Amino acid sequence: MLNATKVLVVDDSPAIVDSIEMMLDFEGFEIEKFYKGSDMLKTLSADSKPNVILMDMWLSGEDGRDICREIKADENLRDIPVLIMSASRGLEQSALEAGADAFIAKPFDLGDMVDRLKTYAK
Amino acid sequence: MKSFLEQNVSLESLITLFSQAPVAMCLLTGDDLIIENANPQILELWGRDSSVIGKPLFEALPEVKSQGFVEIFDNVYRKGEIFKGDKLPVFLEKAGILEEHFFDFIYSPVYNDDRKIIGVSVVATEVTDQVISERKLIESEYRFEDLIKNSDYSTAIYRSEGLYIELANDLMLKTWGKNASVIGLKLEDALPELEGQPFIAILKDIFKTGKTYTATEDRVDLVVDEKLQTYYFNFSYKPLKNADGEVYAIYNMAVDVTDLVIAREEIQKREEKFRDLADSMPQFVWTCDKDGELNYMNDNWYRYTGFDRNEKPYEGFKRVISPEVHAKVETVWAESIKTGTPFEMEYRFADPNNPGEYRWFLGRAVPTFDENGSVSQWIGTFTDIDDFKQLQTQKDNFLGIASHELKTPLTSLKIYTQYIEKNLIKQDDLKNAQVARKMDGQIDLLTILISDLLDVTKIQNGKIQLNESEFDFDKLAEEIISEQQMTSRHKIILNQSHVGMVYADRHRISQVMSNLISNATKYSPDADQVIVSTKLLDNMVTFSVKDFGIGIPSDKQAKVFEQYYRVSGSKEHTFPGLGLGLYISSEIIKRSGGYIYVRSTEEKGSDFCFEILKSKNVQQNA
Repeated sequence: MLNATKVLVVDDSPAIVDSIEMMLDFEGFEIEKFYKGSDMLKTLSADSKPNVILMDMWLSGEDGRDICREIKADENLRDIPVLIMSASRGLEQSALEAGADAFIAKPFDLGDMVDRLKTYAK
Repeated sequence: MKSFLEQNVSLESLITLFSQAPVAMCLLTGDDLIIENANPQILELWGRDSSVIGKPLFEALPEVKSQGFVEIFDNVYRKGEIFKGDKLPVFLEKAGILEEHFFDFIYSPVYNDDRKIIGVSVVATEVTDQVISERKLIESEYRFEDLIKNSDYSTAIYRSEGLYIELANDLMLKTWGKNASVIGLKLEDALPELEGQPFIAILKDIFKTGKTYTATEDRVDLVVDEKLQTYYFNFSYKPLKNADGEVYAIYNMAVDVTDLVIAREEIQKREEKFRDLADSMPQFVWTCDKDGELNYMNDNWYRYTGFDRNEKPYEGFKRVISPEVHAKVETVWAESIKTGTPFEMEYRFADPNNPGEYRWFLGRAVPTFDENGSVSQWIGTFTDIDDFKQLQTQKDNFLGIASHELKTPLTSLKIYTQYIEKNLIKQDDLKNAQVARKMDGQIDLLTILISDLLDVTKIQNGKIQLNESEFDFDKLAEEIISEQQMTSRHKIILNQSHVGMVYADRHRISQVMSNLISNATKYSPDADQVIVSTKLLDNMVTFSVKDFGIGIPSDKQAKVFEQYYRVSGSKEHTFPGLGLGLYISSEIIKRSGGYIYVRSTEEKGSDFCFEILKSKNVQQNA
């Protein structure tokens, strides 16, 4: 796989980051993992863009929706698809309002997740 | 007369004396009682003139013959017995009318010198007026006594300052608990228990003041049936005065109002009791008249608000209620007044301890009805539920956080499980891959349970949100059945009609479908199939799940959609679940604008259905 789909995974739970990494690796994605949204933001630039960002909403002191707004406010970055995950399904609307391209309720089905990543990574 | 004669008093003088004496006199002689002489006074009494002189008495006054005078005169004339008549009645004819007159008489025999009776002298004094007035007095005294005896009031007369009981009617004797033997006794001797009570002194005082004394509902302690008992009377002591204006007796009239006073005291005591009860309640207790006008607030309200009790309660109420709740309360309250149905609402009242802050109260009121079934008043309470509300919020927040936190490890657990499954398939270990697949199914069940807890909280707060969009209903039904089939030993049969695209919250509708199917398998442990049917009629989509299980008694069928409802009876604990699924399903369908219902026969099975609109805008879909 020469041009593997690059996914940035952001979640404050190491277990989730670890399991997603394992899963996406298995599916042939290229992964870069972060525990803080701000750390992830620093790596983004017009020259360095992932195919998809998969980000949790509550990030121990950071709000995934704020990170999302920053990305979408930056004209160099706004084309990066941002998928926001949360165990609180009621937050779906606010995630979409923050500019997220999709909302994924935790826990999710691996197959569904891979389908959606592939859809947005195109 | 003889001595007169001996003194040579002239006959003329005697005649003058006879004729001018202020008494009526006449002289009757002979067997026929000839009127020998009659002075003008007697002629006037008789109502006759001097022409009767020389005539026999009974010829001159024929009306008296039959009145017993023949015998009287006979006794005097024949036997020489002097007759003295005292207030004797005589009917005399005057101007053709018989009138009754009364006379004092003296009939004396008249002797000649030989001591032989030759006639009868009559001296008469008319006492008619005296007799009539005496009669009247007797009659009036009799009437007075009679009046007292027959009076409907307890009545007595006490004579002189000694207060001798001259008269007491039966009612008074009964009031005293005595018999007629007390009449004639001094009042204080007849009723020794009056010592220490003010009445004897009051009575004696009236002899000095001459003034009537009246009392209303005055307490008197009397020994009746040998025990000292308390009575209440309305009574008067009225002085009876003689012609000189001196009090000679006291007229006492009394009405026993004991029953009335006791009944009123009872009512007062009862009212005090209920008032105390209302005042001691931790709630604010209030009443309104039938038109909804506040007319009572209990002590606790005034303690809380510090308002003036003399102010109209509604004025204070308006100041303490939060303005944004007030208008709504007025509307709901007006509706309750109109329909007479119980009232319930949550209020926010200003917190007197924290200016600018409000506390939550639950207001409730029920009407009370009169004998005609009309509302007579409203009884209400305000209960401080602020702490409860805070606890509820804390609980909701906690459940929200707990649900979120529980889902986090589940998320990674699910990924790991699916990873293992995929790896095992890759290694061709299909048997263990199947185990991993089942683990994944159980993780899904755990996720649903956690979601249910959160959903109930959201429903209660009105925070459940529907994210409606168009989706393929047929495909969803197939997906859900295939999912459910994986964890069920029942054969889930799908009788599907083509429904097509439906506008609703796909996730929530899938939740309801799953709930109905899992219930059907759960409550039909002895059956081996469940039938799912879908149908489209006009714009209405029907989804039904039929099982062949334990069924629901008809009286419980409406309850199954209530929160925490569980199968009742001895089997309750043998079925799993939180008792939330149907409640959540019912709320989802209701909020989607649809209907959910059940047809069921005990021991035969149940058929749960929901109906939702295919499209919110029919024309768009037509």
